[in-house]
Amino acid sequence: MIYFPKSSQDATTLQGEFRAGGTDLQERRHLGISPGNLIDLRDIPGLDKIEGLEVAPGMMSAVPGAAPSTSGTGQATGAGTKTPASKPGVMPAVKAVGKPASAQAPAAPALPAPRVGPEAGGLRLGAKVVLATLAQDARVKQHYPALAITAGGLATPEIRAAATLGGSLLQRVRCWYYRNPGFECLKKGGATCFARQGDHHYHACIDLGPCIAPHPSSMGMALLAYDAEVEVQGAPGRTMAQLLGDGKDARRENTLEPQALVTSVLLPAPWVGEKSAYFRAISRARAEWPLVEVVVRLKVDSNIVDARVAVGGVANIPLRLPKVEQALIGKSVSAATLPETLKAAAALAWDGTRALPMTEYKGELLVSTVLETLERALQGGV
Amino acid sequence: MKRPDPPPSPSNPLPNLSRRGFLKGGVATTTAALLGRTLASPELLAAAEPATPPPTASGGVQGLEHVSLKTEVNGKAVALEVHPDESAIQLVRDRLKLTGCKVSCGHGACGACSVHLDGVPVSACLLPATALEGKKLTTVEGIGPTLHPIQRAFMAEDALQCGYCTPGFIMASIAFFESWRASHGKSTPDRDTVASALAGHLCRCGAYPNIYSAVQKACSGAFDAEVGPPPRLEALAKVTGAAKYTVDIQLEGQLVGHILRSPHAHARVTQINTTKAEALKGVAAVHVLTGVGKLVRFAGQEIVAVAAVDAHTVDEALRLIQVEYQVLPAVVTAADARKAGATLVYEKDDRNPANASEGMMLPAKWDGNVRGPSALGALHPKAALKAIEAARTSHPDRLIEGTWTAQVQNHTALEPHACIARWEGNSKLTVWLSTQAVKHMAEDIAERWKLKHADVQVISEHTGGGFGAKNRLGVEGLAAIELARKAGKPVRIALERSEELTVGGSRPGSEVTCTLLLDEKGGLAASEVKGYNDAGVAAGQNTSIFFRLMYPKVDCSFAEYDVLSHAPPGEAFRGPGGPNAFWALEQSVDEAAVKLGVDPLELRRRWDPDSARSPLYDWVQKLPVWQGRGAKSSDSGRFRRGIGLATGCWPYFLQGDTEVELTAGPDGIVASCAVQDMGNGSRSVLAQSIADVLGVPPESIGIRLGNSHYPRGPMSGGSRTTPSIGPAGHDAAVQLQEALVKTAVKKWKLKEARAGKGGVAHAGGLLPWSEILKASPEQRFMGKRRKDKAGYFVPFAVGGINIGKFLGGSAIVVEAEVDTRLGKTRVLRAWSGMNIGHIYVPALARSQAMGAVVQGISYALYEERRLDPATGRNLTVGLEDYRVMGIGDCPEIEVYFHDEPWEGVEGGGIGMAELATVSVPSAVGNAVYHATGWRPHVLPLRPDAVRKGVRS
Repeated sequence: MIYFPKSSQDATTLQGEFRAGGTDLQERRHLGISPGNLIDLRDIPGLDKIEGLEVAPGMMSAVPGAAPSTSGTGQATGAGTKTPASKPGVMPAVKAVGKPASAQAPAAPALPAPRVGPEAGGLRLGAKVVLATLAQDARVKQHYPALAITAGGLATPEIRAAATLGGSLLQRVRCWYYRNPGFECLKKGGATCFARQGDHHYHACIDLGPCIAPHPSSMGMALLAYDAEVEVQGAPGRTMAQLLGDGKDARRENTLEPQALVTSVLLPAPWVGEKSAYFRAISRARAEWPLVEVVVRLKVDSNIVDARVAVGGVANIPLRLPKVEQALIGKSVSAATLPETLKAAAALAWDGTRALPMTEYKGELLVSTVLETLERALQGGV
Repeated sequence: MKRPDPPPSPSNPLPNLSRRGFLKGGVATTTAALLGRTLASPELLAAAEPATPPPTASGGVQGLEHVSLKTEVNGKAVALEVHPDESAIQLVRDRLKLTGCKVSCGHGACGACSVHLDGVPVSACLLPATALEGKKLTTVEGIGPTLHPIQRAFMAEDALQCGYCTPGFIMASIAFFESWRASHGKSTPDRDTVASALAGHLCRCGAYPNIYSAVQKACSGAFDAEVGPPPRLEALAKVTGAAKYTVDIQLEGQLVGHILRSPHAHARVTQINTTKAEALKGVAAVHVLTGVGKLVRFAGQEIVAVAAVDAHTVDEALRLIQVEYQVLPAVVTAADARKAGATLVYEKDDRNPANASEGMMLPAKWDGNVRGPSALGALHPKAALKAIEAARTSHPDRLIEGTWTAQVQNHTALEPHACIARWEGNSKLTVWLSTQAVKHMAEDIAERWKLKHADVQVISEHTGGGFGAKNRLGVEGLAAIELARKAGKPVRIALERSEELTVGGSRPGSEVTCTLLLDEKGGLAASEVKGYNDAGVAAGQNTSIFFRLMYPKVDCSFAEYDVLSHAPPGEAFRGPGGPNAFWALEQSVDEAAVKLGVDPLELRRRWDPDSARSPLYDWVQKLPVWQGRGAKSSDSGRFRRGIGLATGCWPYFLQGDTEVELTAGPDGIVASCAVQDMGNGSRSVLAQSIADVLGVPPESIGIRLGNSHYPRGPMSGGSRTTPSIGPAGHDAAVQLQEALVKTAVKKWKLKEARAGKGGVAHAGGLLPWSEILKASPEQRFMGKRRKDKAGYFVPFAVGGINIGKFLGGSAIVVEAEVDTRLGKTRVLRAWSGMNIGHIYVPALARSQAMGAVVQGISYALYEERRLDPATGRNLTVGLEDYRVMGIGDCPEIEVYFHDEPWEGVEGGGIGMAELATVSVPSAVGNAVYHATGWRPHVLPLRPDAVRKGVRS
């Protein structure tokens, strides 16, 4: 059975799995591992826009207990370990410049032409924006460069032309046990992680939970680095860290409630003087799931005044690396010791404690890839 | 409003086909059976059942079983009903019959199904058909009416071989071309820009270098106008999507067959109940492949095949088949299989492993799961061992020792194994088969089913790659033929990529321990090789023989073993045993050069007596890259570049019973031969060999091949195709030429008449062949593959193959760069030199040689089949997890042929498909050593291993 709801609200009243671009879901349906009804989002208008916001989002982090920890005691802090997913959250009072995504939302008052930039608000990215569009959008490229590069660097041109932001965020893991119909793994309701006992060469090197498949969303990692939030139909909105959860739920890759629909992603006001980069370590030149991937954002005047370092491919959720960030903040970018500073900061990316028997190499590669990305960011970037 | 579910019936194709999409998930249990082809466990099947029947409507939104779709395909309005799970590829291929859109990986990794959606390339396999609503879809068939500059460029630059990936590349390249021209005008994009645009495409033949040049030159404007005929005869059919491969054949009333496979690596089948499946409406035939009481020896082994009216029904039927197994302990890895007391893969009275080699399998001793030793080709082995043992105490510094490991590699041709079988009564059979051997398959089939040879016809007009995996009649063929016989209707079985990567063929892995003994003058005194081959349930790979072929006069001791395990069977793969052997030998020789402080090229000149390689050494010597080669580890920074040399050899095989028939008359000249073209260029070689005699353009010769009813042609294995069909074509052309001269003299009373270029030269000028043919009745000439004047290695054909007296020689140089930070190895440039005598069609030979380098590097750096250590199930069942080289990884490749005809060889030249690839991985290994000082011993050179190695 398939449904074509005409609005986000209608969509959330239905039972089934949402389909946007179909790039991941089509394969899972073909494999037979994702049965049930389809709720195709094709006919829902307004979710494929990139809109400037007059007021930057950001109130989500003001919700008590909702902020991602940046001073965690662990080497790498799980994105949003304190996620209050079951509590009703508070949506920030964000005013869309364009037509509101949800037909139920009050119409926005007439506003001046959108201004996007340091002095203005952020951006709202509709969940149905395809990745190729996102990668080419002038506003995204200018103000959120690492996000544009991430969107333009993942998968293949054909997939980026069809895959949507929402689908990319919420796709299922690429684990070769999960995608093999012969293994009833944790994500399929089973009791065993076959990778943990079996071949996990491409799995996590920071073991956070029962399922050890790396989180598949490069966009999730990049959006974590951009302190993004999501708007959700049928459930409270939340920060990216809250959306991604803490990796403890073996069944799922995110904290979204059943039938809740991510309708858009909100980007806060951009940084002045951002230097950023995205880099993925792979064996071939292109079109390969990352062994390790990193987004670095540095807010630079003469010193590094703020930093975001997010990594993927290494754990069952994308991670922020607060220790690395802290080691960078306050450092001069013109000092002769900069190479050592970066090296020392990158070395904090992995403490060697939570690797699996076959993934120690990934921990070491994580340190190298963080260093690589830091250097790229400071060399002018992306 | 609930739409009625149309009954599945072949007479009602549209609704029926729309049901076909249903298989992809509508009922999850069927899909599990489909894709895992049965690797699905019963628990999973239960878990995958939809929890509750879906409501027809909820919240005012109607639920639909089928979706009305209005779209536009290739400029024509299309309105039809699609299943919710139907993908665009099913719609265009199965319903609109636009088979230029190729089915290959099924998950967006290979790009063979690329189509334009509103002008933008997308993967049709991952695109829901419902997404086409209100949009414009263009397949390769919709390009035109005139050829696009990109199509012309692909033809002219020979940017294709088997051609199966070509339509996808064409579609992506056209989109790139249009956007490039719009933004950059007529200028040349750099390789990196082209690589980014084509990153979603894989070419297993390795046509990347020519794809680069085709796209670059097209963008620059070189193909805006029409150009002359392409070097590859069938190029037009391949760039337009008109070329029909086996998977594209759609017969009236054709049934769909699928195979149920064992989820267990080792088990005994105790019960099979097919009653429910047979009772299912639409099921036409069931055929048991592994019966009750028989053993399953690898996960994925074929148990039962079913044919039904559509894919949905057949998968439903597979689900209804109850198979009970007595599960037995399995040894999944060669290492475990070698352990004392390991579970036996073959009991004493049941030792019949499949042959993993191209040659004959010689009898051997068994010890548990270890079969051997084979000492084939050894020379004075006792003396060799004695000398090596003595040196261990007297001159240990003269020994070069090492253990060299190579992984299992999948053939994974982009056209999967496929077969369509159609019986006429019980005695006549036509089989469309993706094969490398139409004639041999027809004979094999005739014998197995006890039919007259004339009543069996095997057809493969275009074969979408083979590389050794399509030399035999596979289970898909056996099953399709049996099912078609039982059903009384044509049955088609095509493997899914997951099946292809499991049972579709793999190069056996190996562990070769070798010792080279140097004499006091730095010569090669003796060698010892101990090899263990890992071909799963198959056996027969040989690696040590290459030590003898390279150094025929040096004493050598060989002990080669097969290790049998509960893993899918290995199969001959382009140069079987070669890459494994040279990975050990050529790095050992390199190591000897290091030890002796001699230039590695100089050492080879000193050791190597083979005259085929000596001109190649001269060529290497003159290469600027070789002349500029510095000391090892010259780079001390993060990126380290090195130059590696490796040499190689390959036997010269041919099929002496090859015949080519020429039909010549007013309608022109047509050559027929039961050979096939899998991208190796059979058509072009045949045409060229005839055209050369007559002095006419090759495209003026009609070529008929890919059908077993034509005169006997060779199997395309052992690099035998060209040296078999070339001379036979030549022979036929000479007969035709003589006859035409006679005719001309008789009819036109010409003076001083003799064969000239393009016609009969005579005192008064030239009378074109075409004029003579117009005035002649149709004549037939049967060309034979005459015996080499030099004779053969053995005077008679062995297993239908003649072994020539000479060996082809190769030398390959690669420049590699190692990123010591991230462990990534890139090959930047490669030079491939070969001495194989006369080159029949240089442009195509060059393409094939470059493809062989691509495959060799791909093997060295990326490819690796991995099995679950607990269950033996294949984990690398898709082209995401099984990594083959993409265009962005392809180095610049220069090819050199020492193009001098060989005396004593009919036609003057031999084949080279295998020669061109066998030494490539070892050249990469030597380059990595030269770059870093770290000697790799284990393939593939994954980033984790290289990073660890260079930092050790």
